[in-house]
Amino acid sequence: MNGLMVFSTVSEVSILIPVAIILLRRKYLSTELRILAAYVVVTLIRNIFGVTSDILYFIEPGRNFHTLFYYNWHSIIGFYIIAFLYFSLIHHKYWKIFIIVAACIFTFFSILEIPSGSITDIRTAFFNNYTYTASSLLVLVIVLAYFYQLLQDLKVENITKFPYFWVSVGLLFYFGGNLFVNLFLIKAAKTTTQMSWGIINSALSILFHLTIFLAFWYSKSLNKTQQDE
Amino acid sequence: MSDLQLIFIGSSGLIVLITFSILFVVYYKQKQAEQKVAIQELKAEMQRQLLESSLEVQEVERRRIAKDLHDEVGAMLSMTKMSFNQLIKKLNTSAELTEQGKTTKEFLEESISQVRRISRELVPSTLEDFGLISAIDEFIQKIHIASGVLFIFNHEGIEDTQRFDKKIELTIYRIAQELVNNALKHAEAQEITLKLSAQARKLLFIFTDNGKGFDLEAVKKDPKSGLGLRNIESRLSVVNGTFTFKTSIGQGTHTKIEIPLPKNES
Repeated sequence: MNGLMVFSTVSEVSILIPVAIILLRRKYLSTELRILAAYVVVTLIRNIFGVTSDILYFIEPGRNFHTLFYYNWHSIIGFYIIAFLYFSLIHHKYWKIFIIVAACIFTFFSILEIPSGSITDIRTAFFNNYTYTASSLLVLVIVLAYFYQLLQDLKVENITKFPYFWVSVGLLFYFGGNLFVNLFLIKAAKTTTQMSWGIINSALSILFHLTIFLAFWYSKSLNKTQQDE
Repeated sequence: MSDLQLIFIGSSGLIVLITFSILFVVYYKQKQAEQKVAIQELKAEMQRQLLESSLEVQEVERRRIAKDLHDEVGAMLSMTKMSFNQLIKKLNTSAELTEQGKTTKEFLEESISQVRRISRELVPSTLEDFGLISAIDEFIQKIHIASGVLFIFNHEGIEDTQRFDKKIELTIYRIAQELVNNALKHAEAQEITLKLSAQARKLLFIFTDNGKGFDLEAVKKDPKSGLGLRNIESRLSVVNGTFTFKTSIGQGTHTKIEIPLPKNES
């Protein structure tokens, strides 16, 4: 087990941080935070397969374990959950329509993945061709629309204690970073190795899990804000 | 491109996103602060307009009551007096009845005079017709005759007939009434000085009395006692005026009022 693998495993285990806070704050969760909790659960399931595979690889080096299937499906299900989350959070009619259209576009890209077997074959060795980039791009636009809504409304008393701000920051980092890696680095630089992508993705995952942790940590203040309103 | 270069570029991208998030928070807080200031200004303006409307309503109501008193009650009393005069002529037979009639007539005359006084006090018609200087002059003369208190009214630089904005004239007149009433009722003042002067773009009104003064802090804390001061403050807020009030026990009172004048009046 090399350093990169350990770092990758740590990033996958870090999903336990938001899981723990969800359990602690389960009484204070709003509908939207419950949707986010669903995303965390889906990620937890994916990561259980990932970490199990890492442990088995450590016990039996050289044996190949197939986990990409779960990662590919996670990217698809994850996008729909995030889209649903922002569909609830954004109240502007046109942006809601945009989210519906984005979900339709994403469904089209997901269907395009079927011939490669990345989402139909459990033993697949291929990453999704389009859905990672498409979901990153669409989530970024949706998150930026939400930031714009926050600026227009100015209803949040303390933005740094607002759960959805942290969710949005996390999504911006994670999907923005991944988009940057996918579009500009991996596609452009043919020499890129798995290692550089793995380090960046793992770092982004840890950062994302920490921002989700903050979102659930501030779920109490969200209840106060709603009462004030 | 080496892995190290890629990681460096990836980190730079991340730094851009972090910078964006920090800038968002800063900009958000800045906009929030601006919004708070705007809301506070709006609330203050709304409160000022509400107060202005309530004062206007008060003046309209005063005018109505004064008119009713003068035209209805006053006229009725005058008619009663005339009718009573006719009746008294026929009561010459008894000395006792004649005496009683005289007393009743005096009561009637007193009532007519009181109704006229109240009616005049309710609406400062002199203020409307001849301006602030004449109105204050008339007011202090009446008080002087009734109470014997010495008044000094100085209005250097302002002509007797000079007119100001209606709202400003009424504000100063009502405040002067309030301060004079306080000085007579509570302070037992023997000498009152009023000074009105027009300075660059503002009207200055200074009121001093030699009464017994009071503990200002104690009065401010007592919601019932501080009502007069709050009335002055409310009236001044309508014309964007300010005031300072100084007093202590045995030292009389000193009130300084400043009201900005509209550009065409300064």
